[in-house]
Amino acid sequence: MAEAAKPESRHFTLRPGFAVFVGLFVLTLYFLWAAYGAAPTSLSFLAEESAGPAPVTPMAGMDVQSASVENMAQDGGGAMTPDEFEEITLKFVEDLSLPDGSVQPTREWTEAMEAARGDGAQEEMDAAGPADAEEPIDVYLMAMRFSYEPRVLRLDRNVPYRFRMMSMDVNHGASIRAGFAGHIMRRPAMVLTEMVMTFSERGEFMIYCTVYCGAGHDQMKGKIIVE
Amino acid sequence: MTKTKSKLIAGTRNLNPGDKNLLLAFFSIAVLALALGIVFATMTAAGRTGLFGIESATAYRMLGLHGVTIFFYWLYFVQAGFVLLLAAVYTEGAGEVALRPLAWLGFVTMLAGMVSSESSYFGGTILLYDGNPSLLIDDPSEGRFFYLGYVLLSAGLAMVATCAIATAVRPKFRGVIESWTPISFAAVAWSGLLLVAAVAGANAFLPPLFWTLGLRESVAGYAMSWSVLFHNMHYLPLMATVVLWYVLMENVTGMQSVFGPKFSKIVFAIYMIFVPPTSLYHMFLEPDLAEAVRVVGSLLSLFIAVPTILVFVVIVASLESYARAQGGRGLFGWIKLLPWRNPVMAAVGMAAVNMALGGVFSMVLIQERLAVLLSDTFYVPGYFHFLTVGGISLTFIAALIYVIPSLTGHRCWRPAVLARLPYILTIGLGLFGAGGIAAGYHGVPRRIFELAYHVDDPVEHIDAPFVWGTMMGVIGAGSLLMAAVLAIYVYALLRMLFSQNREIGVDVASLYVVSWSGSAATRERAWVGPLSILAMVAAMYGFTALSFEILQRVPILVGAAGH
Ligand code: HEM
Ligand SMILES: [Cu+2]
Repeated sequence: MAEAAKPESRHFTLRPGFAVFVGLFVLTLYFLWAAYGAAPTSLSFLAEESAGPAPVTPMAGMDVQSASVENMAQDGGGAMTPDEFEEITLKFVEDLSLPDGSVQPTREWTEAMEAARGDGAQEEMDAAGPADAEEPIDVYLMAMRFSYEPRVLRLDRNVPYRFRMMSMDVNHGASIRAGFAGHIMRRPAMVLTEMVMTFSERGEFMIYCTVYCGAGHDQMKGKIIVE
Repeated sequence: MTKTKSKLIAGTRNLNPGDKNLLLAFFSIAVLALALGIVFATMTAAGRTGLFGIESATAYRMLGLHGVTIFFYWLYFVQAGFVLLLAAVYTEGAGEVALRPLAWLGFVTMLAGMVSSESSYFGGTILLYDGNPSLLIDDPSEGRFFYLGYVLLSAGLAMVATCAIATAVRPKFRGVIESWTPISFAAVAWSGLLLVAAVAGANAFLPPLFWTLGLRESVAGYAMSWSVLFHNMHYLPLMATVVLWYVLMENVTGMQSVFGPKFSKIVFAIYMIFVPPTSLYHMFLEPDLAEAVRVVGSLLSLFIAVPTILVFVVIVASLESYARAQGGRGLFGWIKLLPWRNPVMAAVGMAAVNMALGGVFSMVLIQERLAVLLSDTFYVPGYFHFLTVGGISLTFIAALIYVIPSLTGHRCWRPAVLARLPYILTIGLGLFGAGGIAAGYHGVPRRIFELAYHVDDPVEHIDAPFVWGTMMGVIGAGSLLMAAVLAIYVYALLRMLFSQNREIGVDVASLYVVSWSGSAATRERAWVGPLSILAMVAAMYGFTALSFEILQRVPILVGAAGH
């Protein structure tokens, strides 16, 4: 029997310890992640405050009931019901539509809306951010079976936009094809998500649904024109 | 040609007729599910690549049926058969399946589940295999048969796993044996995981079943309970595959692990110890998850690759040292001594290659930050077909080539043809995977049949990029090759199940093997296993780095949301 061979007579590549060593090699991938800033290099992450939008996670967001109150609060947009969201999105489209049907968000509109709301809370939160950062312009994007509203957005290059997005019925995606890759985003149902995005290149970018949402899923798309 | 003293063949032949019928029932339905799944796969691929005209609604039905039939029913019927078979054949003193009536009940329950799941696709709303219940908001009752199918499958699996455990435990209880062989130990660990999956399945699918029956107001938390189930489901067929590699390599070469039986048991135990607990990390996958928890989750998912790598190293190092004892020379020269003319050897060899490829690309995707580039794109089916088709299904088919003729007494159909199929399948998968992964990097979504995105309004109109179509063409070519190869395999398995094929068949015990038993050269080096792992890890580094570089070049800057 092979096992009968005395350990000393074995080549080291045939010892269990070496096999385990080789097996653990895959863990070194962590160093590469750290080099790209995708993994903490010290325990400092314990003190780090979470910043930025939540990354899209492979399995998250397939839930009927994800519209919990906690979720909405955590998503930072303040609690907003789907009805309120629909109302403001329709106003956004009505106020800012151009003759060709595309919608061009403006800073004036964003400020007027903030003033109208008397939104102290919003300003307080803004003040907490870096003071020199340019204040983003609001964009509303509503996803529903099987279209987006507005369908065509006209944005300026190198200007930050605060996308406020909600799926009105089931989970959808609102991915943007830019450069030669996709920027994949999931939008769980009835949850308001906010994300500030700045487009650094001119062009026409496709918005497309990347979460299967029913029979018309593959007709669900929109467009962002960056000028 | 050496007549094999194969334990697998001899042990299977020695089973009593009642057990043989039971196992044949599982394997016949498994082959049927595979056949159906391939038909649906071909239609799905046709829909995606424009191979022949197929409406979008039909294509979604085919995609759903493909996923359900092949990922659930093919993989679990075949596993049920093998877990019972290995427990009965490899546990000394067992010799038969314990609690056989319960196993039959499990079979009937699983079959009823399959009928129920398939029939749900005659309805209106189309669920894909992940059964997202929110798609049923208009009319929940349309999902009844879908969830009923999965619930029955889970219940049946629990019964089968119980029988397999009982089969292995009984001789120990009766004092016939002192300890298990590594294989019966593995069968018990595998059954344990099957039980966990069955419970996770019931936990995920009972609430939506009750909801679709009108017995519940809503389904909360489906996404999470599906994730927990899905996590366990990833590792089950993976573990089954490496156990079968071990069994099959022992059968075609006579080798034993040079690391000893205890080490093999520890490795198999790692699956059982780590897989279910790590599924809990999905519970923390909420959007506002703390960085630390994400990192721990990612590290755990890295760790979970370790047992599979260990089994690979154990098998390759053992083969290498046995081959060296037979005079095998050179770093790679010894590989030529393996019995490649045997269809099972060729299949397992290519399965290892495909598994490595799939492993590399799956390790890229576990980095959470890359989800924004690759999740929900064709990258995902692009890489996992290496695992599900080239690694897992090919291994199960290889094992069936030995086992079905041993059960039926029929011959193995045209071994010379079967020994070539794994290479053609790998070429097909290479096209499918390369096209799919490239498509994923270009943002081609998965689960989309109208890639053109055409509308008449000039302001709204935007063309999908031209390269998208090109890559779908490559995927289509790969799909055709894969489908052709798998169809030939299915035909061969059906012949072995139902036809004597005296003229063109060969007795499985006379398939070409080598007999290296009892002669490992443990003084000699065995570098090929470790070097392959090194190459794999290097490829993981390469593709992870490539992905980060591409991500950084996407002309969208995502900043803090001002709060
Ligand atoms: C002839 C061989 C096969 C071909 C040509 C094929 C092709 C495809 C295609 C084109 C898709 C659709 C991708 C998309 O649009 O999202 C797909 C999805 C899938 N395939 Fe296969 N496949 C094959 C075999 C298998 C096998 C053997 C398995 C598992 C054991 C499998 C599991 C899956 C799964 C789980 C999905 C995902 C379904 C979903 O997204 O809902 N496939 N396959
Ligand atoms: Cu959608």
